[in-house]
Amino acid sequence: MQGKPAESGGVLIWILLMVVIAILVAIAVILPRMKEEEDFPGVIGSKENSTPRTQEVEWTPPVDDGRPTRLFMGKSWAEVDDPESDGWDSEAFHDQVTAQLKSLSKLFHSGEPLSESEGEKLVVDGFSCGALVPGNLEVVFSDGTVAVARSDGGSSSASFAGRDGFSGALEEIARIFRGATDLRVKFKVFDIRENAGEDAGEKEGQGSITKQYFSISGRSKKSYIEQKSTWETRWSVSGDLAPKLASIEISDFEQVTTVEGNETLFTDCTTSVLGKNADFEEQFLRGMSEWFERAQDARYFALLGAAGLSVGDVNGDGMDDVFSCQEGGLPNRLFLQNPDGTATDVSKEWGVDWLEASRSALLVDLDQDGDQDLTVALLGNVVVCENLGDRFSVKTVLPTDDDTMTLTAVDFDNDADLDLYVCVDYGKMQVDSARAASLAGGGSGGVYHDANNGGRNCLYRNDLEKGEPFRFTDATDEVGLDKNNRRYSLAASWEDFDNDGDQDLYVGNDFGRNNLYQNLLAETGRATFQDMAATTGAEDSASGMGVSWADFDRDGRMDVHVSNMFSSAGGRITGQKKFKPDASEEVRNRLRRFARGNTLLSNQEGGFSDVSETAGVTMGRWAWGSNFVDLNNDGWKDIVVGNGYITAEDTGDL
Amino acid sequence: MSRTLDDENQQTSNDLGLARAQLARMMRQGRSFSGRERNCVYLNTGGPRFADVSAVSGLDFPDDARAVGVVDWDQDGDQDLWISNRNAPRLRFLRNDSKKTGRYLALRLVGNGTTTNRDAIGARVEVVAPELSSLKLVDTLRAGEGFLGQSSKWIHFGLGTISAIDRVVVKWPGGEAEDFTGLSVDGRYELVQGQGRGTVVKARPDGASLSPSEISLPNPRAQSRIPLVNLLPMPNIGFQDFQGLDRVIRFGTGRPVLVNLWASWCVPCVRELSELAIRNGELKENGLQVVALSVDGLGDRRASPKSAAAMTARLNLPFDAGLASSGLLQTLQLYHDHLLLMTKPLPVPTSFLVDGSGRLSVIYKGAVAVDQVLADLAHSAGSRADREQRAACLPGSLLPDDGVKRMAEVGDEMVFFQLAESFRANGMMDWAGVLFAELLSKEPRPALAALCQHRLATTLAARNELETAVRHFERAIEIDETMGEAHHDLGMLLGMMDRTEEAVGHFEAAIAIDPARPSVHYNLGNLFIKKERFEEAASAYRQSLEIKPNQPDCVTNLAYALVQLEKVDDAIRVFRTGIELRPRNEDLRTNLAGLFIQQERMEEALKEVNAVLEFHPNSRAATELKKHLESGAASGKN
Repeated sequence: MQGKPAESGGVLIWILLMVVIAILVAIAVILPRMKEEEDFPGVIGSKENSTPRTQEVEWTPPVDDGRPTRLFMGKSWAEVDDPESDGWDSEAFHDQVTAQLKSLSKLFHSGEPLSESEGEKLVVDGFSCGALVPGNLEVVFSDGTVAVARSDGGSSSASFAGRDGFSGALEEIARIFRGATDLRVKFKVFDIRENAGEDAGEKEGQGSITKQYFSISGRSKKSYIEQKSTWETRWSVSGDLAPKLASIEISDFEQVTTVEGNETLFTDCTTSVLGKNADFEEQFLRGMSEWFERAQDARYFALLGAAGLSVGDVNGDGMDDVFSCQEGGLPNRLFLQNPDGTATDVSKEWGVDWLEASRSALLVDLDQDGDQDLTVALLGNVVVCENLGDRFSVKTVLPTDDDTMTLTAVDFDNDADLDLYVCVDYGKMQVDSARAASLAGGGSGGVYHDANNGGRNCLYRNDLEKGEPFRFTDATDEVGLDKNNRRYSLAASWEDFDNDGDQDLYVGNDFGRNNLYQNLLAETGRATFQDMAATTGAEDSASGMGVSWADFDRDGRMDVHVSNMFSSAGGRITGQKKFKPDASEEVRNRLRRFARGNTLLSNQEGGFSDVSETAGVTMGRWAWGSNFVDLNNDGWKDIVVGNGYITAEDTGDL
Repeated sequence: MSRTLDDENQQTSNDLGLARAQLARMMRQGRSFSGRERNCVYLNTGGPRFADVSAVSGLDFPDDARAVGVVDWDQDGDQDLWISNRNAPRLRFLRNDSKKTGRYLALRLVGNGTTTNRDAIGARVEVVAPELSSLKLVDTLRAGEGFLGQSSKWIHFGLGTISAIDRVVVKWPGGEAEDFTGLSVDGRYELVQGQGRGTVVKARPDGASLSPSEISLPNPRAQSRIPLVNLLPMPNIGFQDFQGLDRVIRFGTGRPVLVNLWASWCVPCVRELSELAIRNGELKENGLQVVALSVDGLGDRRASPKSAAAMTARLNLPFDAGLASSGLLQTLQLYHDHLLLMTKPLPVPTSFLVDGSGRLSVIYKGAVAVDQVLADLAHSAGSRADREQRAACLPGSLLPDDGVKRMAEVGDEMVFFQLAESFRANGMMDWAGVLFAELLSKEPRPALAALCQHRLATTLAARNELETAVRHFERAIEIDETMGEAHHDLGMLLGMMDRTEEAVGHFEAAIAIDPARPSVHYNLGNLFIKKERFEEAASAYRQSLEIKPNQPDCVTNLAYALVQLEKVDDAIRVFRTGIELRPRNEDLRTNLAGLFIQQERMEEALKEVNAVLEFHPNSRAATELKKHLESGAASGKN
């Protein structure tokens, strides 16, 4: 045993050591991997160390199918993102539950009854549930094409108990879809409460509850049918065994059927319209993932694969045509419609087959000569072309921040010509030092739920009234659109939301609050803007990716739909207690809100009301272009949602 | 906004950067992310709740859809759709084949061009019909909505069962309202401003004749030839030949080189090598040197360098051959990953064509024909525009605009810069330094030049060339004196070199540029600690903590400085505040315990130690301290 003074001294030294370590850590930040330079094999003039590095290199077994075999180096995403190892127990539980639900899906696909051994794996002895297809379905809508039936939520008398009961309950669904083609079954787990019993103070503490959306659809002989419902399931967990179903309760049941025949409402006629064009297969039947493996990315950040399209009558023959924007290295395409409905690629003849990456386009008359001119947002420039009747001619190129997105045209100052507004997601990525400091695909240093350091959206005023066609002036700042203007904007749309005769602007922003710029032209005589999103209840703080207006409730006021991300994984994770435990409730709620999905804001007396959840339109997945369309000509605007972020070969989707 | 939220924002911003970088990395490796989702369609039932008709609609493709364009393409009175996608097919036309739809009214507006734009964008149109009762039927003509999309300029009203239209009111942009009459249901009309009556626009006489079509996608191509727009210099690479000698491939000697990666078990590789061997005479005539490097034995258990040697002997290769090392593969993969968006591992065979001046010109994934290689020898010779057109996936043209060209050049500089950054991030400082220096010799824009000088300096510092590093940091600051990063890093370096006063000056400059960075104050504090200037250290740490209180290291160091200044009570208070923010932090409590022991406040020390052990039962420091405390207590009793 040492004497006391020496011990105290020892502790002090230990504290000092801490400081030294802290200094070393700091130095390591600016002098990354000082020691590792020896590993570099290719220093000019020097010889490589003949000992191979210790890094594991492995490849898939050689198969000679004439295709190259892939070498593999480094960590795979599966290693990086393994819920078993990253401490998200709820996500590990989700994986187990999903596996069980998948075997349920397989049952529906096979159409076979539940076997005894499968039943044993899936459900506990004391299983119970009510009817999975409610008996009290009521047709709430029919337009002669589709019929919608719902249950009023009242419990049905049918009750199923035990494994046999489970089998019987499944049969209620299975018999509807037995023999159906195009059968699709999907569970999406959006909420997990592990050990829910414990929280509730129950004795049986091992039960966990998950909530999932269940959807099943298919084409039977008579009808195309789809069912949706929410399943609240209790799982029994014991030991290392997979969780077993203890009970199921369903809610929000809805069934949609075609009334006459089993055909879907829409038919894909793409090949019929475009198939005769020489490059159709090569350009349109290969996905962006394939090009990204096969061509240099001379620009940046195009992984998104976001190419706009524009419909308009380019040659004035009374038939609409379509312009398709394309990624860098792929030519833009202009398809002119023929009288038989097919369309012919004239992009080369019309001088618009540019290889520069193009995001979005507009066909509008900018010089008031009665034909449709073409505007295309490239990355960092907006190109404006005049329609010469048989081709487009570039008239001016307007500089913008780099990562251009949705392009819109409007007469914001009511001077009888069309002005241009372009959204920009990221800013000057290439020059900005902070961003250049990070490697390709690196971070941007923004605040996820409330960023204002993105690209600058830009309003270009048309100066046609001064007798100068195709002259545009950047009017963003002078009209007040420079406020809240760097929120990573993906989409915008103009509408006179306050019915006062001037055009107001809604902007959908990726990382936080949206803008609703009220045009004060009617009030003040000058076209200036004021962001009224907060005071009108239109902020919709989420990942705004698409904006559309329509009077969906037919009260004469224009309502707005914003596409966002619906993420069941986001719902699961942000719902956990351990999600950002240090963050304030305000921040947690904001982040949780990001996973809710699409938003429908009803324009009412005195402001907007978020009716998304009662309208049942939130779950549009990772949504992009979402438009109001009256699909059945009944006067009520329906909503079409294009979605999906990035599909690749693996199946690791959330 | 509250202080906590600000602090949270800071933290979130870092998390966001990291998360995004991680996400981008995973996706570039080929991971799906919210992929395979199916489009959704919600039917407005006229009540509060929409019906989900996604499947029944027939629009629920798993396409990664982007833009939607709405149009009555075939002019049959209902709305069809164009949808652009990320996946194949990149474009779909979906015809509306609903069995029974309501009546409709289609309107094309023409503004007068003097008070209203010709396209009448912004016009509000209302259908007035007695049967509507209280329900409104209004729409607006817009140009651009949804995401990246523009729909037809025909305004399309579904009328349901309405049999007669009283009138249509058009509120032209600017406010003037005009009534149009003479309109019947199921009609298409042009409404010209000022005419008051609609003119019938006939649908096409024969109607469209489109047929439903299954889309069958072509197989992805097995081979990829990737001519490059940006020609990046390649470092000389070393390999071991089959005699066991270390060899170096020197690029840029005037002769182009084809580096071929192959494996003895890979049939296409062997076939390719045979062709290269047979036609080596032609290759030589064209000045091309081939180096065949086998990957046999690199992590593969079945093949070994011996099999590669045997195969090489059997093929009697008339050019250089040997074994690739994993380091060499890493370098080639780095070039590939830098130039392509998808960073999947290189396949075998893969070949890299490097031109006579040592710049990477074409990458071939999969086997390449000799004729193709010969033709590609000229690829790097042309202008940038030539290369861009040759590198395009499909033929197309380039915009002849200077602004667009300038953007491309700016992009080129960044491709080069980021390559150098990749090497720097991978610790390959020599080559990173060469690249930064070369980019500087091309005289990039000042913002980038300052960055290059800064990065070059960090590579030099990493190679222990400290004096030179200092000079380049100083050059970065000369070009851009507001570059706080350069001041900070130079401060760190000068501190290491014991040039304390200069170091302090640069830290202070960095703080003047951005006073809100906690790490700058913290590192300045560490410098003072090293020089035993405890007052100044304490002050620097305090400033850092004022910006961001939740920093255990900074708290510990501040307490240490205070102890040195014999302000023990202050030190304890500092620890307490730190612990309040991070009650479970191991370092804070063990250090506080150490301080208590020094002050012979054993009970308090024990309390802290026990608190640590509660959350970190395996804490070595706490266990040691506990042992010491217990033995001390025991000896005290004796």
